[in-house]
Amino acid sequence: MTATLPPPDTNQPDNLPPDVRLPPAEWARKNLFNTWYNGLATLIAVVVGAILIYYGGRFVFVTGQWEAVRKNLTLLMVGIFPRGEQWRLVAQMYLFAAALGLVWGTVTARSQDRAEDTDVAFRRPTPLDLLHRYWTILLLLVVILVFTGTIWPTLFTLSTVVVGLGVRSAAMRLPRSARRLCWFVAAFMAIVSFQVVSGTNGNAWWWMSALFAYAALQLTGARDFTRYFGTSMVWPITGRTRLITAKDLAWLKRVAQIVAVVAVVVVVRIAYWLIGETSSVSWDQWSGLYLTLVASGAAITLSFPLGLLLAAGRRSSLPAVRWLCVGYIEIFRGVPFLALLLVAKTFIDFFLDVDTPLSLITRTIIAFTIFSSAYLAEVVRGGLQAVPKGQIEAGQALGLQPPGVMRLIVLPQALRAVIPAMVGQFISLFKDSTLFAIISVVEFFRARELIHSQQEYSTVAIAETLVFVAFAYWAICYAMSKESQRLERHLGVGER
Amino acid sequence: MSSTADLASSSIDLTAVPSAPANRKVLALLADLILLALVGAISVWQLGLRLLDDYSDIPELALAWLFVAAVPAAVVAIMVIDAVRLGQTPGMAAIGIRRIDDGTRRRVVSSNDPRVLEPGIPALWRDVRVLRLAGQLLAVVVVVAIIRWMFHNLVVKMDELGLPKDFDFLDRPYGVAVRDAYGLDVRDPVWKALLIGLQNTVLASVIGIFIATVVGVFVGIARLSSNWLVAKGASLYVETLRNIPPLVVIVFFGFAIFTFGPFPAWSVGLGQYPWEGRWPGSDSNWLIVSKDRWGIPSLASGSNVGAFWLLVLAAVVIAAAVWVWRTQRNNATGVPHHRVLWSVGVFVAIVVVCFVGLGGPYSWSWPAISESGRRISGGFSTNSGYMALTLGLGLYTASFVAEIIRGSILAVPKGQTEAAYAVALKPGQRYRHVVLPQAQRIAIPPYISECANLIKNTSLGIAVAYPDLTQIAITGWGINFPAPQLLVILMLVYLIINLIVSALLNLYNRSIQLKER
Repeated sequence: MTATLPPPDTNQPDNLPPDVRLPPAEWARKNLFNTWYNGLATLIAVVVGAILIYYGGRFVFVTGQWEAVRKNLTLLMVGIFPRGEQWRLVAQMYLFAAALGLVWGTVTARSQDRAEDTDVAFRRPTPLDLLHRYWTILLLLVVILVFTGTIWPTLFTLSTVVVGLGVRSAAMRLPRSARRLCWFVAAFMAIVSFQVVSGTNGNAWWWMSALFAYAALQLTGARDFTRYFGTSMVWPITGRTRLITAKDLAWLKRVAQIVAVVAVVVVVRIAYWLIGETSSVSWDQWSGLYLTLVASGAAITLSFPLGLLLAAGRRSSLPAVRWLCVGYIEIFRGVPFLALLLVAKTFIDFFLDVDTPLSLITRTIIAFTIFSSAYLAEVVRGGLQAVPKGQIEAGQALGLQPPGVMRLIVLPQALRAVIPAMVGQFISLFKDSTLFAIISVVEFFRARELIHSQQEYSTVAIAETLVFVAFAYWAICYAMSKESQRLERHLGVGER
Repeated sequence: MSSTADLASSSIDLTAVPSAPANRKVLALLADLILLALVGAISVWQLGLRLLDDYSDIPELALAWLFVAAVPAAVVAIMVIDAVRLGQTPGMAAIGIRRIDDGTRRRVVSSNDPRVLEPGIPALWRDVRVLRLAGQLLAVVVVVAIIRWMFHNLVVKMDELGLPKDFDFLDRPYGVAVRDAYGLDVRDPVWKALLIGLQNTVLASVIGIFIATVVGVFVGIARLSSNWLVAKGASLYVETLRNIPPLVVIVFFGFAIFTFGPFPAWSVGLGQYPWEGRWPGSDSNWLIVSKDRWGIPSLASGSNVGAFWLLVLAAVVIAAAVWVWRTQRNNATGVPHHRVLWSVGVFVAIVVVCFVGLGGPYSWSWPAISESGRRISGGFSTNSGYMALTLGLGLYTASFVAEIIRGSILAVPKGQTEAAYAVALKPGQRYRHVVLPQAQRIAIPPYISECANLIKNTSLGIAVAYPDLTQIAITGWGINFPAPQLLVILMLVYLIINLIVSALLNLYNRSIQLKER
């Protein structure tokens, strides 16, 4: 294909097409009035647009009763979260921003290094690029801050951004060897940030011990055990000496990993026991936009591994496994999410035979995870099907077992191919979280309804609060969809 | 190199040996099928009994024992099959089997013996067939056990609460008047209430899909317009509506536009009446507008309706015959067929003649405010919930349909358009004969899934008090009809609707796909 193209025009710098700038009159004639029907369409569009801009502008700046939003901004943001405990959210904001900054900085530094290693030109994103990418989020922040009554939220937000960006630039200056530590610290901070709000009692220690156990597993796995044991060993009873084989080392490593994991879990448990039960806000009280973000984030994170398993199961060669997965996916994709939520609200306790009823939010997140994993499985299946069969056969030819082929060869290619589609799926899941409102979980949309359950706003400012909520959803989803389009170009999906 | 030479010079005729792998495939398939049938039958039996009958009669461990026995049974079956087929005990691992001239088989143990024709039988724990069986059994056992456990808990709980476990409640009277559920009487049985809910769901889905398709196609093509302003306006529409949750859109239409919007309120007590649109000099309203009730003209059936529809059916048959005749003419003589023109013309002519001949089986029914001043009589009257649901969902889904249309038109290779230029087709012809048929092929599958999404989203009508299936089911559950059965019915109905839609559209999709080898 490339061979048949004409030779590039060397007179043009960088072979780019010439940048033609028409004078306004010429441009208008070419783009707006090139035929009589286009001229008519332009006129209609101008009239309709003018009417829309007039009424929209009048609504936003003149007639809109934005008092309803201004007075109830806290209700919209954090809902029924206890007002005296809001410092927890501020602390969480700082910690989470630092964690995000750390991850962001590490990822940027890594791709920078990779570009250097492979001699590829790397353009660091300028502030203008970032503005172009996230302008809707920024606009949302500004709009929210405009509605605040005091200066404090603005100061908090600004300082959070400063913390995040500061940590990011610090992370980018760290040596390469510190990268894995950065991931660990970021995960640690994220967990701590949530436990600042949710407290350290109950099963909270489990999350931390999972993180530490994973780290211990990685650390012991990466050790070179010949350093510690030498190359020969003495048989305990007979006293015979023999060389240490690879099999022995693998066995030793396994034992060391188990010991390390158990030790770490015990240490974490003891640490949590020493800390004791801190005061907390139970997540029945998490609400508003905060709950929307947390619940959709949790469901997306939890459904990801489940979706991967289901997608792999649907392509399994074992018919029983395949049909089980097909049944799961088709059933949960075929019923409306609302029906699932109703089942979750009423029957999860019945199904699970629990003594104390699960909190409504837990039940909702379970339903959300079940639902989203079915959709995610279909997205991932698309990626699995796109991996050429030769890749799998090449893996088998290398002597890999089926799980190895999946993990090392198929999944990396499949996931890379479906990242944009997956972000699209995340957008639609985020939008589906509004349905929580119908089963009276106080998320963002339900918080808006609470405004109108107050006497003074029962029939006024309906459109204003709706527009505000719709704008917030729009800003977040728009940023995500632009990001997915950028990733699509960046990863070169569909090209080779 | 030497082994190949040996093989080539050996006296064994390779083609004469029956192909063993095919044999094995059949056996593996049989084993799988038997297993699936066994498991399926047991699960259906167990789950059915659990849900409907008294569960305590069945020994708790019977199922578990059955499964425990199934693994050794399957393994023994494999051993017997092997013994019969190969005359050899499994587990006595051999590299392969070789056939001697008299037809008997011998085990081969040396690994570089070139005469090996079939692989031997590995040890049981390394036998792929045994491992596959065990793996599948394990998966099914785990899943069935979990489902069984959950149903057991549910049934125990339902007994505790005294809820019935059968579907007898469907015949009891529904007992509650649901707002705007036309045709539903308080004394009607529950199944009829659900049926009316289903009817409303289907009505909302059909109109919603219609709006989504019309607006979506229009906006999708507008996005590709050469007119800068039109293209930007269309992308503004898509980028806005696509990124707002459908529930928000529906509630916006329901409350911000209709209930609390700019339309006239209708309250007889306060002396507020709706706006009636009528042509000057006429008594008939063509539109009645208020905050929560709208009326439009509709067709009222008179006499001879049955005969009219029979004749319409005949007209369809005749039009189809004309279509075939025109196609044959075109094939035989090459004159332009004008099939659409001919058959539509014939159809319309017959229908008009029949309509007039039968004395007008249908007449316009104009909406009017009833004598009490509280209702709309005549015409087609609808409530704001219905309008909000169909408009909101339709316009929301239209943004996705627009993207599908645009994407599929752009996905047609540029060479196709250029080829159409080269054979001097006009722009309209270029679109009709070259671009659109190919774009349609790309657009249909995602369009199917958008339609299915819209149907599922009609359950959001509950937010604007539209009496669809979900609303009727939830209301019924509020008045103490058993919720589990109602939810099962609800989910099954949506599942079946979705399966039917995707089957129909897949059928259509298959008929227009390129026929490849």
